[in-house]
Amino acid sequence: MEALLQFSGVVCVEGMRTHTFALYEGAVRQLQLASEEEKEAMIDVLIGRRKCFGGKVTLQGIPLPEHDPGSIGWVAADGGLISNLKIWENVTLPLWYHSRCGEEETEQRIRRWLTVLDLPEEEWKRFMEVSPHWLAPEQRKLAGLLRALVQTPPVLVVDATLFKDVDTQQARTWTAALEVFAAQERAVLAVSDEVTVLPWERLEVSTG
Amino acid sequence: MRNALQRLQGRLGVEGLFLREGLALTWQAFCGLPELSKRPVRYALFKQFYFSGIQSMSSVGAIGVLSGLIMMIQVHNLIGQNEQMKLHLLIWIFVRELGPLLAAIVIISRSSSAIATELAAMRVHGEIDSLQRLAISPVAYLAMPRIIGMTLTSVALTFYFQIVAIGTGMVVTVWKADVSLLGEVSNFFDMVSFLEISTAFLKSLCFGVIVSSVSCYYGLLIQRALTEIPKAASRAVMRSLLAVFVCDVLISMALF
Repeated sequence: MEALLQFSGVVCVEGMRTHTFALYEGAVRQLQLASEEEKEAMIDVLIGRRKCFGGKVTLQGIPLPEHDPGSIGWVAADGGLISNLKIWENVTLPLWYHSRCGEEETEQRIRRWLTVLDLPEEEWKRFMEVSPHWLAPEQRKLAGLLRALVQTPPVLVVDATLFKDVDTQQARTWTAALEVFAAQERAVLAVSDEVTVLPWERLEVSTG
Repeated sequence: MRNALQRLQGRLGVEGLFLREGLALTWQAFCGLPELSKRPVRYALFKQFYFSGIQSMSSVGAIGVLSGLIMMIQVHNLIGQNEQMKLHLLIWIFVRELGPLLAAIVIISRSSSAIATELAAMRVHGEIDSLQRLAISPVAYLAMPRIIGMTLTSVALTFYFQIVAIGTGMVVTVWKADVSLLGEVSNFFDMVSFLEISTAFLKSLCFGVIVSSVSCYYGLLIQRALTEIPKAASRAVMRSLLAVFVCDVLISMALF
């Protein structure tokens, strides 16, 4: 079985250890790194913002730089929302920037994921129309997660700090949503720099 | 002496860097024009039209009426009933020079600091990093719609300002000298040349590109510190003003 995402001897931070691992379709895994600097560098390499110092990253068997931008999605620790856009504009931003998805299909996708994320219709209608500064930190995180789910990339990179200071029931709903996402022939990788309580298997990383 | 030379060298280096990077940003923004096919970029452009164009119309209109009034009252006091000379002065002042310049000053005071502050705040709050992590180019998504939007609104606002100011000037002339308004309008179109109209167009186009590029440059340039935001706004306003005046002198020297 071909790996969806393959890291082969990748050096994210110059002079630091190499990483080799594979992520397969349907997998939801967590990757724990030694420091915040290494975590940020790993996220940047994963989403193609930074070139690795050595080794090779492939997505669906093709080197990552050869893929279109936005092929790997990202969920920021704080949601990573843009303050001068309303929530619905934030949610649709990467989807509409990287693809030509129509309004009707976008609405269907949003509706579907909001159901999975357990948000009642009256609440999400209000939620979508406001600016990020009107939302509580947890709601901003939810909007960031929704944005990535709606974009539907083959691999989703989640900053595991997203789950910090989040209500247990809410965290359970979000992890379940990410598992539903991965089950659609996709994969999720949660990256952290500390021990987490996330229920997912740790990625077997061979380091050098 | 050596210190003074070193300071001058450093200063020229900073100016050179500003010019080079500012030009590079403008070039990248224009190269990013195909990005307008993407819906979020188009929305950003429409928002810029609204904020820099539609929302500026009342202030530009008010300044146009007031400058038309001031100018014609002063001109009437200086030259009395010479209608031909008054029309010439209206053309020289508002079409060739003050129209593009005053419209640019209104745009600078209204939009330049707003753009620089907005982009600087986005940088400080990590929103530009967020965009980059979403594989969205800050130049294509943030700078390009602002540069194109402000450039086009600069042209439109300049013509709007000129129509309002010259119209007010004509009304004052009609009121003071008891001549027909239609006659004044017809004389105006006989006197105004294609060169004067195209100069106004060229100036407003250049001013729009300069003001928007300088504002985006200072907004995107800053380090991640809150204290940098007011500095970015102030630098954007002062540099835009200076650059607009320098450009005005160069165009006027080249064409008249």
